[in-house]
Amino acid sequence: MTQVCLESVPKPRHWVRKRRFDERCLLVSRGREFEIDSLTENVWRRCDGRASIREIAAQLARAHEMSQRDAEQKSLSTILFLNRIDLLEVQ
Amino acid sequence: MAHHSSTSSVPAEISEFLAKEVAPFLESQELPVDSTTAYASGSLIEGHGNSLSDVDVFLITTGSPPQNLVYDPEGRAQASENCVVAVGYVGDRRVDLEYWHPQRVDELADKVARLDLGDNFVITLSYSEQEFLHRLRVGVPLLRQDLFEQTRSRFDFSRVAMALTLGAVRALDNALDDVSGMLEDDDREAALFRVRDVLGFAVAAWNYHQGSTNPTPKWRMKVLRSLPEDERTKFLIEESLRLQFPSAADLLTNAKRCRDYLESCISLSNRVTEWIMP
Repeated sequence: MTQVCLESVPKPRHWVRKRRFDERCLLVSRGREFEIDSLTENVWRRCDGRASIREIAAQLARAHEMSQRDAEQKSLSTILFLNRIDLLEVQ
Repeated sequence: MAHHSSTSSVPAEISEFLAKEVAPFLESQELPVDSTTAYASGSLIEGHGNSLSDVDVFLITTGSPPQNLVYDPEGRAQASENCVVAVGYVGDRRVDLEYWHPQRVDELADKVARLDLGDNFVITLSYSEQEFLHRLRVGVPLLRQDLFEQTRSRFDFSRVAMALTLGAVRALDNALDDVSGMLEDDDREAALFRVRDVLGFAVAAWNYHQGSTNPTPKWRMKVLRSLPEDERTKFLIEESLRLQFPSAADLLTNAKRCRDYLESCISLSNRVTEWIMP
């Protein structure tokens, strides 16, 4: 099982792509579609295979005026979920 | 969206050829004068062509091509899905004549107006319809300019560009699925070939998103370079050129480098679609 901490670096699986149709934002993975909310989208957009979860949270905190602690919690839970359904890997 | 200019200046040599050779040829045809419009279009008109390029002439008419084309004893006419195509030569220059029935153009105008550009988008424009639309947009009238302008004004080309963008993203998605599967199975050779389509569709999608309606794959780079200069377009020109021409021998023998390369191509295409649908 992958150990995930704030220093872990999430990287989208190469077979996953984000698509937007009207107001709906989807992650499409091998023919399956996952509709995501704006928070998940904001986290996903920052997962570039280089930024750590702590750095992603810092960006999120700045962009959405939330505390670093709150942003870390939200980023971590989102990334864990996306990792569990195999939309991204964590290094 | 729609930053791309649909007008271009026709090279002087081509203008002269159209005025002195092609227009008189068309006027000599027995076509219904009241209802026929004709225009020249294609790569030469847009400034993409070369010395061997042909001139495309479109006629919207109830008339038919001549049995024997005046300028080419071997000229031939053939029916395609939407029109009748006749091929001939004027001097050394090949001229393709496409005869479209006005009723077919009416149907196409209706089709464009009814395109569903939402969630349920399906590309319903055939390639020959896409070509017709683009060429009408950039065409230069040869007969009945008033009728030509009237016909052109019936089409909302921003809708066409939007439909083409969605179609290119759909094609891109299919190619991405293929590459991902090939990558998983380490089928490097197939993946390296298919990923070139990924890059091509990404460029096409960006061109359309910027307002281009030119569907011809061979002109993608020229269209991309003709877009107004901005950071994204500049980046896409540099990256797509760099990624289109890797060292295949090296990638075929090195699994890690091949994977990294393919992932770079996927990443570029994801970046482009993020620009298009942020």
